[in-house]
Amino acid sequence: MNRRDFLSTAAQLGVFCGCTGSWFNRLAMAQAKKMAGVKRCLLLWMPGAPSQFETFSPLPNHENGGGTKAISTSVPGIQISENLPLLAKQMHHLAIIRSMKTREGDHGRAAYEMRTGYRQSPVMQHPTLGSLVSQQLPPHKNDLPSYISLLTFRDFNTMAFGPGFLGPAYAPLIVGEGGLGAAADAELEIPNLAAPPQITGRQIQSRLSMLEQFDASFRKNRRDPLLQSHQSAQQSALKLMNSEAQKLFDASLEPETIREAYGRNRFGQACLIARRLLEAEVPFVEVSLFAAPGNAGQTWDSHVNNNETVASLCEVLDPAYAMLVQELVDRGMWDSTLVVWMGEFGRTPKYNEAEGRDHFPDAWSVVLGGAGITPGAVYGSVSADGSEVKENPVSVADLQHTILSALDLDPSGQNLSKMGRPIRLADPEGQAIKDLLI
Amino acid sequence: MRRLLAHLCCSLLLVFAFSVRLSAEELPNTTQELAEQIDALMRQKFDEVELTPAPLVNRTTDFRRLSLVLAGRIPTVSEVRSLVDSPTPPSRQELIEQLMNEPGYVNTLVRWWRFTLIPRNDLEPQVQNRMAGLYEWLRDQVLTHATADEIVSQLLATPQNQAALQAGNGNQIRPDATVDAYFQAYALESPQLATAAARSFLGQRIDCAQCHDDPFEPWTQDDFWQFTALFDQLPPGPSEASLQANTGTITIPETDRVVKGRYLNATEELPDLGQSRQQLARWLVSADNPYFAKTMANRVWGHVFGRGLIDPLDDLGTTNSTDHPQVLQLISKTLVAWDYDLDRLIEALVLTEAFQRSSSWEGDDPPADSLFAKAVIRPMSGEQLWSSLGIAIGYTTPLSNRELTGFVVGQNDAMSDFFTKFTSGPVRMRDAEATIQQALQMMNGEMVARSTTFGPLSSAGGNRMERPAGPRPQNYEAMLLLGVLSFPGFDTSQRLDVLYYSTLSRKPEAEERERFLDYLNQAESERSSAWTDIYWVLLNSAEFRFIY
Repeated sequence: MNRRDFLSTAAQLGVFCGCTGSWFNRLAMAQAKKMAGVKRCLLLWMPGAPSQFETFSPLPNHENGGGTKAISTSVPGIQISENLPLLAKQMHHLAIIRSMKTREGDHGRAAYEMRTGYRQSPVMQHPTLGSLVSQQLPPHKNDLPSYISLLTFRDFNTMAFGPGFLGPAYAPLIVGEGGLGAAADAELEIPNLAAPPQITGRQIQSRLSMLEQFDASFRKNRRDPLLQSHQSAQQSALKLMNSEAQKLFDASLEPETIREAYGRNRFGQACLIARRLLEAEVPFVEVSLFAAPGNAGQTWDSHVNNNETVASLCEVLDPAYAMLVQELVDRGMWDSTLVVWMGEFGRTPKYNEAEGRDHFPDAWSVVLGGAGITPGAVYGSVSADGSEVKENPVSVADLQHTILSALDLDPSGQNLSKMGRPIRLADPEGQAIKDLLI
Repeated sequence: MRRLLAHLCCSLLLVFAFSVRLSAEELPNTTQELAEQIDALMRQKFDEVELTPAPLVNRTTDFRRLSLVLAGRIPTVSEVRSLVDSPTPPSRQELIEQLMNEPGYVNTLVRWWRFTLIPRNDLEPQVQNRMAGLYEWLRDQVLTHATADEIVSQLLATPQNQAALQAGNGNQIRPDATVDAYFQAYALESPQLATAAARSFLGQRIDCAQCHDDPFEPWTQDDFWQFTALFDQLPPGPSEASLQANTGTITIPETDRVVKGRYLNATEELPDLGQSRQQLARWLVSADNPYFAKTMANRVWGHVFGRGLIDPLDDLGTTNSTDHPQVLQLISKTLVAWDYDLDRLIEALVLTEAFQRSSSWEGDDPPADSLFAKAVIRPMSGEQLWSSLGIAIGYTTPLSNRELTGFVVGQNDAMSDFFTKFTSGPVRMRDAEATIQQALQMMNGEMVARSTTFGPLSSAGGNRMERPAGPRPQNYEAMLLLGVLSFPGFDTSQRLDVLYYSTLSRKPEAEERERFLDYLNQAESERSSAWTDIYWVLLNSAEFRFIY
């Protein structure tokens, strides 16, 4: 009997016994989760590392809190920062981990570890979360790539965004790379998706078949992975050109009120597009937030004027994130979509001389929600001054185990790396946070 | 077993023979001599592993490769023509000389230095703004034939202070030549600068030792911080490491250990304090430093061959080795003997037979790239592709020298758009896997679309995002193709030749010619659009996109 059978049997037994205990509720929810079908994942990536104190873990009663107020949320007893009033109303869907305790304090290395679940090493290139998850989840039926990254910000470490040893087939489709200083209302489309209008469909076909023949003879005695990568990129591009896919990237097809509610800025609109892509069953979508109006490209790296920097980014984050939760719930997708909010690390409890907060991996916060995650929860806690984890420290490996488990993937499953060495989906040092998994 | 013993004896003898041969007085004097010695050593290795290397390529393939490596572009139509159609084609030596004397060669070296110093594409805006100054500085060095040791020691010894960093403006037409951007790229942080310098100039990755003793390499945490202490005289950055000004000591963060500046792998501490970055600069390029020559020689090899003898180029640590240790030793020692003249080393490397091997391999398993028994295939870098595409489509406004090296990302022009999609920088092309966006850019992007389509491109369709407002080059609408088709006195076959010359730098094979002429004949009334199809195929082919 596998886990699925057991759960299903147990749920039926529960029905027959008229059992109503909380353990049964959990089982019933687990069953509902199974019924909801295949999982998807959305990563809200926060490059630069947001301050935990001005977002999800305020310290209103301590000087290290920096004067940021805490506000009540839809879950009694859980408070978050005043910078996130709309998310406060969605708290009953979310789960905050307040006890992240990680090892890397450098943006590049930490980005790599958070996004791959492994520490960066010169001998192994691990796949980034999106590549790994989209490789592990069942293939979807449309022509879209399995991993789409919107507003990608790779400055800190390009390696943290690649498919690693899984190879180019699992590389993200990057839409809106960087985008520093871009207009707040720029459309997010895949560039160069259509051939010039003069070129007929038949002509495109003959071009492609000639190209295929031409390249095949060039590749004949050159068996090189880079040539294969060239070919597979062309094939994927063609699939995209032939599909209706580009409409998914057109936010203007959404009602004006919805567009407004997400925020008329690139991140807001990208979150709306992310919802459309998830609806189209793209297994993994990510959106990065690295710029707010007035601080183009500054990221969350608030070494200077921490409070202002974080507040301005929160103004962009709050409506978009809250609308995403709301819409995914309304459309019945919440239980099948895992939404992860995280950056590289947290910020120091004490301010520096420039009113900024520096890098701090010792005690910080990550937020999960949706598929497989206990709603309305807080996990772990920190000391009164925010300087250390008080209970339930969570490592990067623990987080990776939790994310994969929530998606019904087996963290101890293995992939074969290019060197023939098997690599587990998550570092075996970690374990999933049981309290947060339904 | 006897054979094994024989092999072993042979190898030992060889090692002995070459250790004798490599003594100072035996080092080659000319580039030709060095090339011959490299080839001799490689032949010995191939004999040893019983491998017949790939044959040498034909002249046109060789010329294309030379042009891309030395000048960062494919040959022009007239250059190809002079090679294939002229009764007195230029000699290989003449071609190399020409290529090394053109502005493209300077640009290529400047870009090589830039990525050796800062091996990242994406730079923070405040650094990007100052890059023009660094490009100017590097350009001055390359144009005055500064040697590699001069460039590196000057770079590191240049004092940095707050005033200097605030002065100077990267947006001037002729920006001041400064090295500020180098220090800013590492946030003026001594640990970052130390890590980068170790990778760039010593081929050592000391990163791990910042927090703990490296379990694989000989570097301890003390080694890291002693080396870091040498990078003093920096204005205060956001560093958590506190550097005691002018004492040449540093406190290791989260400990109370104070360490003094010390060169990497040196047994003694720095004799006197202060000015330690200047002392570091002197040591780095001195004979006392066992790493610099080897690292630079390997980097130059990587630039010319598409892969280092040891790869990656910034990791010459104990876990990484080469199939040709004697070649690396030879070129390192020669580089020192030649006073770090990179031009001479580059010239010697392109003179080797190794450089001229085919990338094609008949038979079962191709040999590992590390053997260099065949050419290493790699895609053109963004810069090479941009310049080559310009030649292939007859884009008549050539890039000025400064544009190619000093462009500022973030401008909404065709070039910056291009560079955000294609991997820039000459050193990591073996890692540059193709992306969907690149394929779309080549298939439908403005440059290729305009040059392979007659008439104006409609802005309708799915291309709304392609071109934000900004300057756009207008003068390459199917220009080359129109010229080829309207040139009087050419027959169809000759027109096809020109398209091949402009894109693939060669004549079509008989079978290709037959196929494309058939295609044109069948097109009848739509003959001109059939020409655009052929042109499109050539521009989108792997053969065009790759250095092979």
